Amino acid sequence: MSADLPWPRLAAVAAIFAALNAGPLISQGLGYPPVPGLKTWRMYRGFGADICIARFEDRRPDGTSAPLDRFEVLKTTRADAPRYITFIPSEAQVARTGKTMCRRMPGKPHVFVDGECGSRYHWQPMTRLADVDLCGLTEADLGRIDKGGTP
Amino acid sequence: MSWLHAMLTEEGSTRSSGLLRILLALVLWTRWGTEVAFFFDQSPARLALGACFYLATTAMLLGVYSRASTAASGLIAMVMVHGFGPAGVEPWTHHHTAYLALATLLAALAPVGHSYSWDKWRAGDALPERAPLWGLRMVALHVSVVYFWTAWDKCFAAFLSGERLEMAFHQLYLGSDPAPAGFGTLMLVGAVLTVLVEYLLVVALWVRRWQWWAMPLGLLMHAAFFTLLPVGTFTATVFACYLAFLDADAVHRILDRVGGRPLDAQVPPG
Repeated sequence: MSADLPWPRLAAVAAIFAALNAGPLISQGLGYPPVPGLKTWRMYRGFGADICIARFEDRRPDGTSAPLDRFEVLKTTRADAPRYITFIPSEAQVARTGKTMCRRMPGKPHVFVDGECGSRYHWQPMTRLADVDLCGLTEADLGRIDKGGTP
Repeated sequence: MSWLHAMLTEEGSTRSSGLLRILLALVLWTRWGTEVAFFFDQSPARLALGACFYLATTAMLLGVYSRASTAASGLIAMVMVHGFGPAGVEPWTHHHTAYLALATLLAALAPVGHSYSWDKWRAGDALPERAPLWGLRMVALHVSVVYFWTAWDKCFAAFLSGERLEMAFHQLYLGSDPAPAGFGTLMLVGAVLTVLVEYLLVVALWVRRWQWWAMPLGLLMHAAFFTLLPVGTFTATVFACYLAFLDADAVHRILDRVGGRPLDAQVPPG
Protein backbone atom coordinates (compact mmCIF):
# COMPACT_ATOMS: atom_id res chain seq x y z
CA MET A 1 0.00 0.00 0.00
CA SER A 2 1.28 3.37 -1.01
CA ALA A 3 2.00 5.86 1.76
CA ASP A 4 0.35 8.64 -0.25
CA LEU A 5 -2.99 6.81 -0.35
CA PRO A 6 -5.72 9.11 0.99
CA TRP A 7 -6.66 6.94 3.95
CA PRO A 8 -9.82 8.81 5.05
CA ARG A 9 -11.24 8.46 1.54
CA LEU A 10 -10.21 4.80 1.43
CA ALA A 11 -12.00 4.22 4.74
CA ALA A 12 -15.11 5.98 3.42
CA VAL A 13 -15.10 3.91 0.21
CA ALA A 14 -14.59 0.68 2.17
CA ALA A 15 -17.47 1.58 4.51
CA ILE A 16 -19.76 2.40 1.57
CA PHE A 17 -18.79 -0.83 -0.21
CA ALA A 18 -19.53 -2.82 2.95
CA ALA A 19 -22.84 -1.03 3.55
CA LEU A 20 -24.03 -1.57 -0.03
CA ASN A 21 -23.19 -5.27 0.06
CA ALA A 22 -24.15 -6.16 3.63
CA GLY A 23 -27.88 -6.66 3.00
CA PRO A 24 -27.58 -8.78 -0.13
CA LEU A 25 -24.60 -10.73 1.22
CA ILE A 26 -26.41 -11.70 4.43
CA SER A 27 -29.73 -12.55 2.81
CA GLN A 28 -28.97 -13.56 -0.77
CA GLY A 29 -25.40 -14.79 -0.41
CA LEU A 30 -25.48 -16.54 2.94
CA GLY A 31 -29.19 -17.33 3.11
CA TYR A 32 -30.00 -15.64 6.44
CA PRO A 33 -33.31 -13.76 6.88
CA PRO A 34 -33.23 -10.17 5.57
CA VAL A 35 -32.07 -7.57 8.08
CA PRO A 36 -34.54 -4.68 8.44
CA GLY A 37 -33.09 -1.51 6.92
CA LEU A 38 -30.57 -3.40 4.77
CA LYS A 39 -31.84 -3.64 1.21
CA THR A 40 -31.62 -6.84 -0.78
CA TRP A 41 -31.83 -6.94 -4.55
CA ARG A 42 -34.43 -9.62 -5.21
CA MET A 43 -36.33 -8.00 -8.05
CA TYR A 44 -39.50 -9.54 -9.50
CA ARG A 45 -39.04 -12.67 -7.36
CA GLY A 46 -42.79 -13.05 -6.82
CA PHE A 47 -44.01 -11.42 -10.02
CA GLY A 48 -46.00 -13.78 -12.24
CA ALA A 49 -46.84 -16.14 -9.40
CA ASP A 50 -50.52 -15.21 -9.69
CA ILE A 51 -51.26 -16.46 -13.17
CA CYS A 52 -52.48 -19.81 -14.47
CA ILE A 53 -52.45 -21.15 -18.01
CA ALA A 54 -55.66 -23.04 -18.65
CA ARG A 55 -56.53 -25.30 -21.59
CA PHE A 56 -60.21 -26.19 -21.36
CA GLU A 57 -61.69 -29.05 -23.33
CA ASP A 58 -65.09 -30.63 -23.82
CA ARG A 59 -64.91 -34.42 -23.49
CA ARG A 60 -67.74 -36.18 -25.27
CA PRO A 61 -69.25 -39.57 -24.34
CA ASP A 62 -67.74 -41.14 -27.49
CA GLY A 63 -64.29 -40.51 -26.09
CA THR A 64 -63.40 -37.60 -28.35
CA SER A 65 -62.61 -34.15 -27.06
CA ALA A 66 -62.58 -30.63 -28.45
CA PRO A 67 -60.68 -27.64 -27.16
CA LEU A 68 -62.83 -24.83 -25.78
CA ASP A 69 -62.24 -21.12 -26.18
CA ARG A 70 -63.39 -19.68 -22.85
CA PHE A 71 -64.16 -16.27 -24.39
CA GLU A 72 -66.31 -17.82 -27.10
CA VAL A 73 -68.20 -20.01 -24.63
CA LEU A 74 -68.78 -17.07 -22.28
CA LYS A 75 -69.90 -14.92 -25.24
CA THR A 76 -67.32 -12.24 -24.66
CA THR A 77 -63.99 -11.18 -26.11
CA ARG A 78 -60.53 -11.03 -24.66
CA ALA A 79 -60.77 -7.24 -24.58
CA ASP A 80 -64.19 -7.13 -22.90
CA ALA A 81 -63.93 -10.04 -20.46
CA PRO A 82 -63.35 -9.36 -16.77
CA ARG A 83 -59.69 -9.49 -15.77
CA TYR A 84 -60.21 -12.68 -13.70
CA ILE A 85 -61.29 -14.47 -16.90
CA THR A 86 -58.46 -13.16 -19.08
CA PHE A 87 -55.76 -13.39 -16.41
CA ILE A 88 -56.97 -16.31 -14.26
CA PRO A 89 -55.03 -15.93 -11.02
CA SER A 90 -55.48 -19.30 -9.30
CA GLU A 91 -56.51 -22.91 -9.64
CA ALA A 92 -59.70 -22.07 -7.72
CA GLN A 93 -60.60 -19.38 -10.26
CA VAL A 94 -59.86 -21.83 -13.09
CA ALA A 95 -62.43 -24.17 -11.54
CA ARG A 96 -64.99 -21.36 -11.22
CA THR A 97 -64.39 -20.25 -14.81
CA GLY A 98 -64.89 -23.84 -16.00
CA LYS A 99 -68.08 -24.17 -13.99
CA THR A 100 -69.42 -20.93 -15.49
CA MET A 101 -68.58 -22.25 -18.95
CA CYS A 102 -70.56 -25.44 -18.20
CA ARG A 103 -73.64 -23.35 -17.38
CA ARG A 104 -73.40 -21.50 -20.70
CA MET A 105 -72.96 -24.60 -22.84
CA PRO A 106 -75.94 -26.47 -24.32
CA GLY A 107 -76.78 -30.04 -23.33
CA LYS A 108 -74.80 -31.87 -20.71
CA PRO A 109 -71.18 -30.90 -21.31
CA HIS A 110 -68.16 -32.41 -19.59
CA VAL A 111 -65.51 -29.72 -19.26
CA PHE A 112 -62.02 -30.68 -18.19
CA VAL A 113 -58.97 -28.49 -17.82
CA ASP A 114 -55.26 -28.99 -18.13
CA GLY A 115 -52.67 -26.40 -17.33
CA GLU A 116 -50.26 -24.96 -14.83
CA CYS A 117 -50.03 -22.08 -12.40
CA GLY A 118 -47.16 -19.71 -11.71
CA SER A 119 -45.10 -19.77 -8.53
CA ARG A 120 -41.89 -18.19 -7.26
CA TYR A 121 -40.05 -21.10 -8.88
CA HIS A 122 -41.24 -23.52 -11.60
CA TRP A 123 -44.69 -23.81 -13.18
CA GLN A 124 -46.92 -25.94 -10.96
CA PRO A 125 -49.27 -28.40 -12.74
CA MET A 126 -52.93 -28.02 -11.75
CA THR A 127 -53.01 -31.38 -9.98
CA ARG A 128 -56.16 -30.65 -7.96
CA LEU A 129 -58.21 -30.33 -11.14
CA ALA A 130 -56.59 -33.20 -13.03
CA ASP A 131 -59.31 -35.41 -14.56
CA VAL A 132 -62.04 -33.51 -12.74
CA ASP A 133 -65.24 -32.82 -14.66
CA LEU A 134 -65.70 -29.15 -13.82
CA CYS A 135 -69.40 -29.40 -14.71
CA GLY A 136 -69.87 -31.84 -11.86
CA LEU A 137 -68.45 -29.51 -9.22
CA THR A 138 -70.85 -28.33 -6.55
CA GLU A 139 -70.63 -25.05 -4.63
CA ALA A 140 -69.22 -27.09 -1.73
CA ASP A 141 -66.49 -28.47 -4.03
CA LEU A 142 -65.64 -24.97 -5.24
CA GLY A 143 -65.47 -23.78 -1.63
CA ARG A 144 -63.01 -26.55 -0.79
CA ILE A 145 -60.86 -25.64 -3.81
CA ASP A 146 -60.96 -21.97 -2.74
CA LYS A 147 -59.51 -23.04 0.59
CA GLY A 148 -56.69 -24.99 -1.06
CA GLY A 149 -58.33 -28.42 -0.85
CA THR A 150 -59.42 -30.90 -3.47
CA PRO A 151 -63.00 -31.17 -4.80
CA MET B 1 -3.61 -1.20 -6.54
CA SER B 2 -2.95 1.68 -8.91
CA TRP B 3 -6.62 1.67 -9.97
CA LEU B 4 -7.65 2.20 -6.34
CA HIS B 5 -5.17 5.03 -5.93
CA ALA B 6 -6.38 6.55 -9.18
CA MET B 7 -10.03 6.33 -8.13
CA LEU B 8 -9.37 7.90 -4.74
CA THR B 9 -7.23 10.74 -6.05
CA GLU B 10 -8.84 11.39 -9.44
CA GLU B 11 -9.79 14.98 -10.16
CA GLY B 12 -11.82 16.13 -13.11
CA SER B 13 -14.65 18.19 -14.47
CA THR B 14 -17.66 18.55 -12.20
CA ARG B 15 -20.21 18.88 -14.98
CA SER B 16 -21.16 15.16 -14.84
CA SER B 17 -21.87 15.61 -11.14
CA GLY B 18 -23.94 18.74 -11.77
CA LEU B 19 -25.97 16.99 -14.44
CA LEU B 20 -26.44 13.98 -12.18
CA ARG B 21 -27.81 16.26 -9.44
CA ILE B 22 -30.33 17.85 -11.80
CA LEU B 23 -31.44 14.54 -13.32
CA LEU B 24 -31.89 12.84 -9.96
CA ALA B 25 -33.95 15.78 -8.67
CA LEU B 26 -36.23 15.46 -11.69
CA VAL B 27 -36.55 11.70 -11.19
CA LEU B 28 -37.41 12.32 -7.50
CA TRP B 29 -40.20 14.68 -8.58
CA THR B 30 -41.41 12.23 -11.21
CA ARG B 31 -41.58 9.33 -8.75
CA TRP B 32 -42.85 11.08 -5.64
CA GLY B 33 -44.00 14.55 -6.65
CA THR B 34 -47.69 13.72 -6.77
CA GLU B 35 -47.75 11.46 -3.73
CA VAL B 36 -46.17 14.04 -1.41
CA ALA B 37 -48.12 17.00 -2.82
CA PHE B 38 -50.33 18.64 -0.22
CA PHE B 39 -53.64 17.65 -1.82
CA PHE B 40 -52.76 13.95 -1.71
CA ASP B 41 -52.79 13.31 2.04
CA GLN B 42 -53.39 15.96 4.68
CA SER B 43 -52.19 14.07 7.75
CA PRO B 44 -49.63 16.12 9.73
CA ALA B 45 -46.82 13.66 8.98
CA ARG B 46 -47.49 13.71 5.23
CA LEU B 47 -47.84 17.50 5.12
CA ALA B 48 -44.50 17.84 6.91
CA LEU B 49 -42.96 15.27 4.58
CA GLY B 50 -44.27 17.13 1.53
CA ALA B 51 -42.86 20.45 2.76
CA CYS B 52 -39.45 18.93 3.49
CA PHE B 53 -39.39 17.00 0.22
CA TYR B 54 -40.20 19.99 -1.97
CA LEU B 55 -37.87 22.32 -0.07
CA ALA B 56 -34.92 19.93 -0.32
CA THR B 57 -35.49 18.75 -3.89
CA THR B 58 -36.13 22.25 -5.24
CA ALA B 59 -32.85 23.41 -3.69
CA MET B 60 -31.20 20.31 -5.13
CA LEU B 61 -32.54 20.98 -8.61
CA LEU B 62 -31.43 24.61 -8.58
CA GLY B 63 -28.12 23.85 -6.90
CA VAL B 64 -28.71 25.91 -3.78
CA TYR B 65 -26.32 24.63 -1.12
CA SER B 66 -26.05 21.73 -3.52
CA ARG B 67 -24.32 19.10 -1.41
CA ALA B 68 -26.47 19.78 1.63
CA SER B 69 -29.71 19.86 -0.35
CA THR B 70 -28.77 16.66 -2.23
CA ALA B 71 -27.92 14.94 1.06
CA ALA B 72 -31.18 16.20 2.57
CA SER B 73 -33.16 14.95 -0.44
CA GLY B 74 -31.46 11.57 -0.17
CA LEU B 75 -32.13 11.34 3.57
CA ILE B 76 -35.78 12.31 3.13
CA ALA B 77 -36.12 9.67 0.40
CA MET B 78 -34.50 7.10 2.72
CA VAL B 79 -37.02 7.99 5.43
CA MET B 80 -39.81 7.51 2.90
CA VAL B 81 -38.47 4.09 1.85
CA HIS B 82 -37.48 2.74 5.27
CA GLY B 83 -39.90 4.69 7.48
CA PHE B 84 -43.14 5.54 5.69
CA GLY B 85 -42.87 2.45 3.49
CA PRO B 86 -42.92 -0.26 6.19
CA ALA B 87 -45.46 1.85 8.11
CA GLY B 88 -48.03 1.34 5.39
CA VAL B 89 -47.02 3.01 2.13
CA GLU B 90 -45.97 -0.27 0.54
CA PRO B 91 -45.11 1.03 -2.95
CA TRP B 92 -42.41 3.22 -1.41
CA THR B 93 -40.49 0.11 -0.32
CA HIS B 94 -40.05 -1.13 -3.88
CA HIS B 95 -36.63 -1.59 -5.40
CA HIS B 96 -36.83 1.32 -7.81
CA THR B 97 -37.60 3.70 -4.94
CA ALA B 98 -34.95 2.24 -2.64
CA TYR B 99 -32.43 2.52 -5.45
CA LEU B 100 -33.38 6.13 -6.18
CA ALA B 101 -33.12 7.12 -2.51
CA LEU B 102 -29.67 5.62 -2.05
CA ALA B 103 -28.39 6.95 -5.39
CA THR B 104 -29.42 10.45 -4.31
CA LEU B 105 -27.73 10.07 -0.94
CA LEU B 106 -24.51 8.85 -2.58
CA ALA B 107 -24.64 11.68 -5.13
CA ALA B 108 -24.16 14.09 -2.22
CA LEU B 109 -20.58 12.76 -1.99
CA ALA B 110 -19.89 14.02 -5.53
CA PRO B 111 -19.04 17.66 -6.30
CA VAL B 112 -22.61 18.32 -7.37
CA GLY B 113 -22.60 22.07 -6.80
CA HIS B 114 -19.57 23.09 -8.85
CA SER B 115 -21.47 23.16 -12.16
CA TYR B 116 -24.93 24.19 -13.31
CA SER B 117 -25.91 25.53 -9.91
CA TRP B 118 -26.85 28.62 -7.99
CA ASP B 119 -23.78 27.88 -5.86
CA LYS B 120 -21.54 28.23 -8.93
CA TRP B 121 -23.37 31.33 -10.21
CA ARG B 122 -22.93 32.99 -6.81
CA ALA B 123 -19.30 31.96 -6.23
CA GLY B 124 -17.98 32.35 -9.80
CA ASP B 125 -14.34 31.39 -10.21
CA ALA B 126 -14.01 30.76 -6.49
CA LEU B 127 -15.79 27.46 -7.13
CA PRO B 128 -13.78 25.80 -9.91
CA GLU B 129 -15.34 23.23 -12.23
CA ARG B 130 -12.70 20.73 -11.21
CA ALA B 131 -12.81 18.64 -8.05
CA PRO B 132 -12.09 15.16 -6.66
CA LEU B 133 -14.43 12.62 -8.21
CA TRP B 134 -14.27 9.67 -5.80
CA GLY B 135 -17.77 10.51 -4.55
CA LEU B 136 -19.14 10.38 -8.09
CA ARG B 137 -17.62 6.92 -8.47
CA MET B 138 -19.58 5.76 -5.42
CA VAL B 139 -22.76 6.32 -7.44
CA ALA B 140 -21.24 4.06 -10.11
CA LEU B 141 -20.26 1.50 -7.47
CA HIS B 142 -23.89 1.39 -6.37
CA VAL B 143 -24.97 0.54 -9.95
CA SER B 144 -22.44 -2.30 -10.10
CA VAL B 145 -23.49 -3.69 -6.73
CA VAL B 146 -27.13 -3.75 -7.85
CA TYR B 147 -26.21 -5.47 -11.13
CA PHE B 148 -24.15 -8.10 -9.34
CA TRP B 149 -26.77 -9.03 -6.76
CA THR B 150 -29.70 -8.96 -9.17
CA ALA B 151 -27.77 -11.28 -11.49
CA TRP B 152 -26.86 -13.48 -8.50
CA ASP B 153 -30.53 -13.62 -7.51
CA LYS B 154 -31.53 -14.86 -10.96
CA CYS B 155 -29.10 -17.78 -10.91
CA PHE B 156 -31.59 -20.52 -10.13
CA ALA B 157 -33.08 -23.16 -12.39
CA ALA B 158 -36.58 -21.66 -12.67
CA PHE B 159 -35.22 -18.31 -13.92
CA LEU B 160 -32.45 -19.63 -16.15
CA SER B 161 -34.87 -22.06 -17.83
CA GLY B 162 -37.00 -19.07 -18.82
CA GLU B 163 -40.00 -20.16 -16.73
CA ARG B 164 -39.99 -17.12 -14.44
CA LEU B 165 -39.87 -14.80 -17.45
CA GLU B 166 -42.71 -16.78 -19.06
CA MET B 167 -44.81 -16.19 -15.93
CA ALA B 168 -44.07 -12.46 -16.03
CA PHE B 169 -45.12 -12.24 -19.68
CA HIS B 170 -48.28 -14.27 -19.02
CA GLN B 171 -49.07 -11.97 -16.09
CA LEU B 172 -48.64 -8.87 -18.24
CA TYR B 173 -49.54 -9.84 -21.79
CA LEU B 174 -50.70 -13.37 -22.60
CA GLY B 175 -52.97 -13.89 -19.63
CA SER B 176 -54.14 -17.49 -19.16
CA ASP B 177 -53.93 -18.38 -22.84
CA PRO B 178 -51.32 -20.94 -23.89
CA ALA B 179 -48.21 -19.31 -25.30
CA PRO B 180 -47.45 -19.34 -29.03
CA ALA B 181 -44.88 -21.77 -30.42
CA GLY B 182 -41.29 -20.75 -29.76
CA PHE B 183 -42.21 -18.56 -26.82
CA GLY B 184 -40.46 -20.85 -24.33
CA THR B 185 -37.24 -20.75 -26.32
CA LEU B 186 -37.45 -16.96 -26.59
CA MET B 187 -37.88 -16.67 -22.81
CA LEU B 188 -34.98 -19.06 -22.18
CA VAL B 189 -32.69 -16.99 -24.38
CA GLY B 190 -33.97 -13.77 -22.77
CA ALA B 191 -33.36 -15.09 -19.26
CA VAL B 192 -29.83 -16.30 -19.93
CA LEU B 193 -28.94 -13.10 -21.80
CA THR B 194 -30.28 -10.94 -18.97
CA VAL B 195 -28.10 -12.67 -16.39
CA LEU B 196 -25.03 -12.64 -18.65
CA VAL B 197 -25.42 -8.95 -19.48
CA GLU B 198 -25.95 -8.00 -15.84
CA TYR B 199 -22.81 -9.87 -14.74
CA LEU B 200 -20.88 -8.41 -17.66
CA LEU B 201 -21.91 -4.85 -16.85
CA VAL B 202 -20.65 -5.18 -13.27
CA VAL B 203 -17.13 -4.97 -14.71
CA ALA B 204 -17.49 -3.65 -18.26
CA LEU B 205 -18.91 -0.25 -17.36
CA TRP B 206 -15.75 0.55 -15.38
CA VAL B 207 -13.38 -0.15 -18.27
CA ARG B 208 -13.10 2.99 -20.38
CA ARG B 209 -12.13 1.22 -23.59
CA TRP B 210 -15.17 -1.07 -23.25
CA GLN B 211 -17.69 1.67 -22.51
CA TRP B 212 -18.44 2.30 -26.20
CA TRP B 213 -20.28 -1.05 -26.31
CA ALA B 214 -21.04 -1.70 -22.63
CA MET B 215 -22.96 1.51 -22.11
CA PRO B 216 -25.28 1.14 -25.14
CA LEU B 217 -25.81 -2.50 -24.11
CA GLY B 218 -26.87 -1.41 -20.62
CA LEU B 219 -29.04 1.39 -21.97
CA LEU B 220 -30.72 -1.04 -24.37
CA MET B 221 -31.36 -3.55 -21.59
CA HIS B 222 -32.95 -0.91 -19.37
CA ALA B 223 -34.97 0.49 -22.27
CA ALA B 224 -36.32 -3.04 -22.79
CA PHE B 225 -37.15 -3.32 -19.08
CA PHE B 226 -38.90 0.07 -19.20
CA THR B 227 -41.06 -0.71 -22.20
CA LEU B 228 -41.84 -4.34 -21.34
CA LEU B 229 -42.11 -4.45 -17.54
CA PRO B 230 -43.56 -2.15 -14.85
CA VAL B 231 -40.20 -0.91 -13.52
CA GLY B 232 -41.28 2.64 -12.71
CA THR B 233 -38.48 5.17 -12.53
CA PHE B 234 -35.75 2.54 -12.21
CA THR B 235 -34.65 2.95 -15.82
CA ALA B 236 -34.49 6.74 -15.62
CA THR B 237 -32.48 6.57 -12.38
CA VAL B 238 -29.98 4.11 -13.84
CA PHE B 239 -29.65 6.18 -17.02
CA ALA B 240 -28.76 9.21 -14.87
CA CYS B 241 -26.31 7.17 -12.79
CA TYR B 242 -24.46 5.97 -15.90
CA LEU B 243 -22.95 9.48 -15.95
CA ALA B 244 -20.91 8.41 -12.93
CA PHE B 245 -18.96 5.85 -15.01
CA LEU B 246 -17.94 8.25 -17.75
CA ASP B 247 -14.69 10.17 -18.08
CA ALA B 248 -15.81 13.45 -16.55
CA ASP B 249 -13.49 15.50 -18.76
CA ALA B 250 -14.86 13.81 -21.87
CA VAL B 251 -18.38 14.73 -20.77
CA HIS B 252 -17.18 18.32 -20.28
CA ARG B 253 -15.68 18.44 -23.76
CA ILE B 254 -18.81 16.98 -25.34
CA LEU B 255 -20.99 19.55 -23.56
CA ASP B 256 -18.72 22.34 -24.83
CA ARG B 257 -18.95 20.94 -28.35
CA VAL B 258 -22.72 20.48 -28.21
CA GLY B 259 -23.13 23.97 -26.79
CA GLY B 260 -20.98 25.45 -29.55
CA ARG B 261 -18.55 26.90 -27.04
CA PRO B 262 -14.75 26.96 -27.39
CA LEU B 263 -13.13 24.09 -25.55
CA ASP B 264 -12.44 24.89 -21.91
CA ALA B 265 -8.70 25.41 -21.40
CA GLN B 266 -8.95 23.84 -17.93
CA VAL B 267 -9.96 20.52 -19.40
CA PRO B 268 -7.24 18.27 -20.82
CA PRO B 269 -7.75 17.44 -24.51
CA GLY B 270 -9.17 13.98 -25.17
